[in-house]
Amino acid sequence: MPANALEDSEIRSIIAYLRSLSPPRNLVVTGDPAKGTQIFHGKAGCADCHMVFGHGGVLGPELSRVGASRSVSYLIDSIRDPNKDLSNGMTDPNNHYGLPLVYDTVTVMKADGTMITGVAKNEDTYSLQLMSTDQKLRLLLKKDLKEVTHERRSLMPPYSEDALDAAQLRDLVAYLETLRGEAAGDAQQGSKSSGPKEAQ
Amino acid sequence: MKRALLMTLLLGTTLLQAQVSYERLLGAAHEPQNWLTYSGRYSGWRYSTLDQINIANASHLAMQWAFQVGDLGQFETTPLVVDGVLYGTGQNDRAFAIDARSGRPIWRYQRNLPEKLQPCCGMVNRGMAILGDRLFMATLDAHVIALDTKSGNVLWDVTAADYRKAYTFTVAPLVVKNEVIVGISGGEYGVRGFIDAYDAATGKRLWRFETVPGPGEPGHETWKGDSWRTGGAPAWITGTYDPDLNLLYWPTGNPAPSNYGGERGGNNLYSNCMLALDADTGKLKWYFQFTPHDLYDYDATQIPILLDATWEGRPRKLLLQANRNGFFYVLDRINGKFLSAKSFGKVTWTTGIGADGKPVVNASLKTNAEGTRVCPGALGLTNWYAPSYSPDTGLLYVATSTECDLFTSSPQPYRAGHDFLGSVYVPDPVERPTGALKALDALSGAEKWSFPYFSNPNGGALSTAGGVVFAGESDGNFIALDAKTGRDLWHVQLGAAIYSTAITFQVEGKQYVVIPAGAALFAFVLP
Repeated sequence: MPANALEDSEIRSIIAYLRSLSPPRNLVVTGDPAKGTQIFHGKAGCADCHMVFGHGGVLGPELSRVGASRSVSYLIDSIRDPNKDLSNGMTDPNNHYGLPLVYDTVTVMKADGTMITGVAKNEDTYSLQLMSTDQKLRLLLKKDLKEVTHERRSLMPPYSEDALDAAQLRDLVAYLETLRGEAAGDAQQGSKSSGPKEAQ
Repeated sequence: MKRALLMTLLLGTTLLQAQVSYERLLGAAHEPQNWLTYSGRYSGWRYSTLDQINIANASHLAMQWAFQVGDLGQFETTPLVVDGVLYGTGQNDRAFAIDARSGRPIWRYQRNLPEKLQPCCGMVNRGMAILGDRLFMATLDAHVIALDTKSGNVLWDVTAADYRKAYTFTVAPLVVKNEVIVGISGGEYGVRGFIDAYDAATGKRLWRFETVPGPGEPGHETWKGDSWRTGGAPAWITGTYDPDLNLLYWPTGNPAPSNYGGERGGNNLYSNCMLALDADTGKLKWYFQFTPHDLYDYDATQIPILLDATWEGRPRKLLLQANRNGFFYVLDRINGKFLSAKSFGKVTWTTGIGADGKPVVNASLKTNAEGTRVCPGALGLTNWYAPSYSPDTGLLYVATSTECDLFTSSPQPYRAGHDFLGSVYVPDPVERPTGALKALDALSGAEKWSFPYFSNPNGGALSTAGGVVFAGESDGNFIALDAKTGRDLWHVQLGAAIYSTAITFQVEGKQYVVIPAGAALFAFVLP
């Protein structure tokens, strides 16, 4: 992005606009966050892969601030159709023109024919740091691999109405909406009944 | 004993104070122990006859030293090396001299820059030029300065343009005879581009070539209305020089605004051109425009390579350029005649290059407010990072990118000192760009081998008589390949993106290869 010499008033206007893109803290969500917590940590199995305040898996993105960083409609899309927009992984601060890795599906074939699937924590021409679906970190050198395949799809399953009906979806989103990077507090009703409250 | 001591002192003094005459610059190819110009020699080859490091032993390369610049951002320098001293520049217009054997600094220079600067793409500098006991540097606040090689003290400092209107320098100057030649940056801000020559002794400006012709000048008619006043056509990469023809070959960048052409109808000369200028006067001898009326930011700022070769049965003075627009061009460098063009990757902006060298624009891909996917993307199939030509293999080594972009386009009023793009481009969200180092036949442009990169590159190539090509990746790998086959010989992870290209030199019988990465220079030798 080119540098600019905007006036201070213009910069303030841009900041105001950017802030307007962030979902408001008190957005009305009709679901029950407490029930949503149970769904997240129970039936839906979200916590198998996603960590919230130190609890959960490490295969998918960490979600302790997801309510502050994503809109409700984005959350719904991500649950119903995870392939619609793959989340970004790590960005290299030294690579000013580079693009971040995304949470796509990576499958490698080792020399002995063994296949491993997961997401790339990082990758370059010579190596791959893979978090496999069993949530083990695999530090791989490409010279030891027969093949590395990227598929532009998420490892997260789509949650159709059969898996998560409309009411359950609202509850789950209501819970996610409370996740704003604060491990405790009144806003996080859902956290009172499960793991997140322990991670203060 | 006294006499021996005196001789030692004299020899030592001579070693450290050797004058770099113009004759030495002309013969730079015969001083492989040094690296005297941006591309290593006037022909732009970035090739060294050193062969101590070769395909048989490159796998044993080991780090000898690292030098930390002390600043962050893109480290784009090509250092110079003269008789054991390495001279480089860093981010935010730093400069330094270091002992090329040990990596220890001899002096450091830091320019006191004004607060509000607007370089489009980082606070970068690509290096210096040398003549006599002076180094020449073009600065982000649009000055040209001379530094003393022994102390780094400023000897003269002249203003070339007004930085408050977003005129900046990022280029490494080129010295020809007594001239210090520089080209301006600022194509993203609607500057009116130029190439300047300054007297190396005094800093007096000797000539200026305006890359956007004014009223009454040939080419002015290629701009609609007053659009020429903010037409861009910067000249931000170091050109090359043919001493026999006394012609300077200097490429130019995009017209402004880069992504909207509605207000600048016409071919927009001399944007995206190769210019051949009389080195003494700056007068235009010929031009060739690669991408007329550009809408995709296809600066032609790739280093032109000069090669004398047999072309269609007769000896010819050629100019080669792997252009950002995706085509490898061969021109006759005496008169600018178009000889051939061949794509070296995916290209959709044109349906092909005609027999006259002009592209046939793919009309269905004209940019609009909704966005159109175009290949290559705005960063090009290749970019400013250096190519290399090896006379041993007859191959041209070019770092390439697969990035295609979604371009939008809409009118934008000009405001002095503000960006002037005519909307934006974004990378294709579906297809992650990758890259490769490609070896092209230097005459036909046919691809001989390709070494794949995981990411699209920002660094170029150096080839040597040892049969090795050195290349740097944006993922931080510094790589040595077999120049004939592309076979992977060695690599080292340097921990940060590489934004420049390696050089090589020799001190006391030992060959060094040096590459910038992150905020450091790294030197490698055989153990």
